[in-house]
Amino acid sequence: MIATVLERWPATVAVFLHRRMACPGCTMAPFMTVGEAAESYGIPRADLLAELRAAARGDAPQGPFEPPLPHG
Amino acid sequence: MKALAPDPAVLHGMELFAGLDAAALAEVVRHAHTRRLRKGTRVFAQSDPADTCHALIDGRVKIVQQGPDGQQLVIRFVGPGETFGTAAVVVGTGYPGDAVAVSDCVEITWSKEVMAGLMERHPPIAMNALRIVGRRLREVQTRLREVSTERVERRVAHALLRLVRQAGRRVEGGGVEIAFPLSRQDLAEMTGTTLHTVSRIVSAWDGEGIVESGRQHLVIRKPHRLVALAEDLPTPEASTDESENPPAPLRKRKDRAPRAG
Repeated sequence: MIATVLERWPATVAVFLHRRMACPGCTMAPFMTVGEAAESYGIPRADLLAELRAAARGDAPQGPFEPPLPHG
Repeated sequence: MKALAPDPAVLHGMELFAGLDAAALAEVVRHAHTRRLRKGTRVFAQSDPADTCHALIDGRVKIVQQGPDGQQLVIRFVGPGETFGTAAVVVGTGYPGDAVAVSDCVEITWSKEVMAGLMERHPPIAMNALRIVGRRLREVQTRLREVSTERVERRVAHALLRLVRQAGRRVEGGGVEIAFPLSRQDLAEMTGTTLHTVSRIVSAWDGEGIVESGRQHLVIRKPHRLVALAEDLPTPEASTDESENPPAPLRKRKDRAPRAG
């Protein structure tokens, strides 16, 4: 679940912000998988996973970040 | 004291008693009473003198306030680990609403005098109570702003998100279920609007596949869409999975939905 990822690897917050995703702090984050979040923003799941892994290793995107994009 | 004292383990996870050591927790439990509540039981009534602090061990309780004109407002739903009726005890007024068990429950209670003594001997309880009350005040302020400024549709979306935060459960297929019986009337009373308005909104969401609603049961099928509605984010022009599912007229309308009527 997204919330678990954020909790365990806080550096991944930057990936979501960089991708302009509203996941950090979202009510639904404890219930959604990374795959579902990727799908709802039209991002390839594998790309997002690779970026999350990189961030967890210490290679996270730098700000400033734009506000979240519309998503469905 | 009671012949059958509850196990201190029932206090585990209760914010009111966070930070107490084992001896203090044992004392708290020694002075408590537990009881089962059948679904539909009224735990206390609005305006009754507040003489007992309640905390829920299991189940779900609804606090409903009735106005002078008979209009009901759901103040909040109480879940396991949460206290209710406690602020009224400290303030020394009557209970602010009726407390009704919406499912079978187990609750634990302390008399007013006992709780006052516990707070004096164990100041963390009083500090915890202050934090709980402060957070609830903030929630009430948020709701006040929602009621004052937001379209009804956003208010209903926010009410559902609050319920998800408290009682959300993931279900097969990526949906999120509100894990207790919830009627459209409850949603109307939570958002200060009419049953008719809530029914119109929820039916439209149902038609768009955002929620799946049955009697007393609601599953959010498109959590991301609900968040976007609550936050007033525009919906994407062409999203990957909804191209075959055109937005219903409700989503296209830019005018304000009717306020409470």
